[in-house]
Amino acid sequence: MRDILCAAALEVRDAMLASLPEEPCAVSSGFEESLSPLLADLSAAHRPSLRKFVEKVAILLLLLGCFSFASPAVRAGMHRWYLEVREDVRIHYFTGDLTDDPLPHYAIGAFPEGYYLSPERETVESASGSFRSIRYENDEGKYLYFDYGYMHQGAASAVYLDEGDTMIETTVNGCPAEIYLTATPETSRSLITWISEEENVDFSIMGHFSAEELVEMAESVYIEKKR
Amino acid sequence: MAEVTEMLIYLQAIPDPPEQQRFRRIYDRYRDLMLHTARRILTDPQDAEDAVQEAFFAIARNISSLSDPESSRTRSYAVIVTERKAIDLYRRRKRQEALSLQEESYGLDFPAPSGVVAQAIAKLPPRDREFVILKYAEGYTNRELMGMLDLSYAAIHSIDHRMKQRLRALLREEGMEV
Repeated sequence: MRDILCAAALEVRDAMLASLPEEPCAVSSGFEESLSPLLADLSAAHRPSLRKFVEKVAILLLLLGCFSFASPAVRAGMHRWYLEVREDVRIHYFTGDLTDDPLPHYAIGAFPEGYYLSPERETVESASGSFRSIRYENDEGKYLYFDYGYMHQGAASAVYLDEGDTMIETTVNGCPAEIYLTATPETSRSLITWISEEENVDFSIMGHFSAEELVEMAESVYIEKKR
Repeated sequence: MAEVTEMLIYLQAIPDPPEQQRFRRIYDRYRDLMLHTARRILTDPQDAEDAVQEAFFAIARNISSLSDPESSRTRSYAVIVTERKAIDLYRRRKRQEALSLQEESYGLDFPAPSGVVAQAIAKLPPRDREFVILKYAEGYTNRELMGMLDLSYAAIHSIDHRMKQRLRALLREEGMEV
């Protein structure tokens, strides 16, 4: 039976593969650009990427090591972060030791109606437990991301801007915050990111929301439980 | 569109520079093939790209089992994992519709091979056919397939058993006993 199966399986495999064309396949710019940072040699990742995403994203480059060579545009005094601005990328680099304290579970008090935890994707936590990303979605297929993590050496938060996107400096409960509004709200998400020095946590909320809605959600974030 | 957190997963999944290079080679070699695969199943081009991206994340997670990017084993897995992701996405898109049992028929459509047994395998539901190709044509072990197909050990055995039963039934219809 096994020999028959093996021979027949090879025949099926060949038929299946032969049915697929080999010629180059056109893709959207978003596909190529959004995957390109993932394909970069991480030895080159010690230099912040200037690749541009079609959709702006906030990423925690947790595994990209140290960024000690970076030339910060803004260094926040004794704070545990500094900001570097390069063309269409704004990167907050974090410093200091990673705390042993477990990351609390935060929740959004002013949670938008119609959203629920994405059943297709579990909450993502970094291996060290210093970062957590929660995805919600609604019945229209729109996603809401709530990400937060401890600030520490080797971690960074980057926002990639598209042409026409706007950045607004603001505060969230007295913490420095930035709102990034997409120029294409029908297809891209907007973002609010803020840093709580007191809690040593960098937060972001990303979704199809207005600046006012993002601020309202950010200001309502609370500790749901401590692990 | 690759999601932010999937990038994080990817970076965590491939901490080893040689494996990063291997992933890059797989991407360069099979990206177009995977896109063609997804577009056979998903009519929306954006959905097809999403399925391929999910397939690449699966490849990243299983990069240790894909030692030779040029081999037929890797090529088969690239196509099959894309087919699986495309079918999964198709099902998600249809989640609010009443899917009939016919959903199992969605998958790659290709010309029937000539051999009777091969024809019977080609008629199996996509998940069973994918399993047969990876296990019996490419020689992946059950342990490897657990990770590559995101299945439990029990599920692997169940598919193997069920597939053989279906195959025997199909062959009986053709007047063959195996």
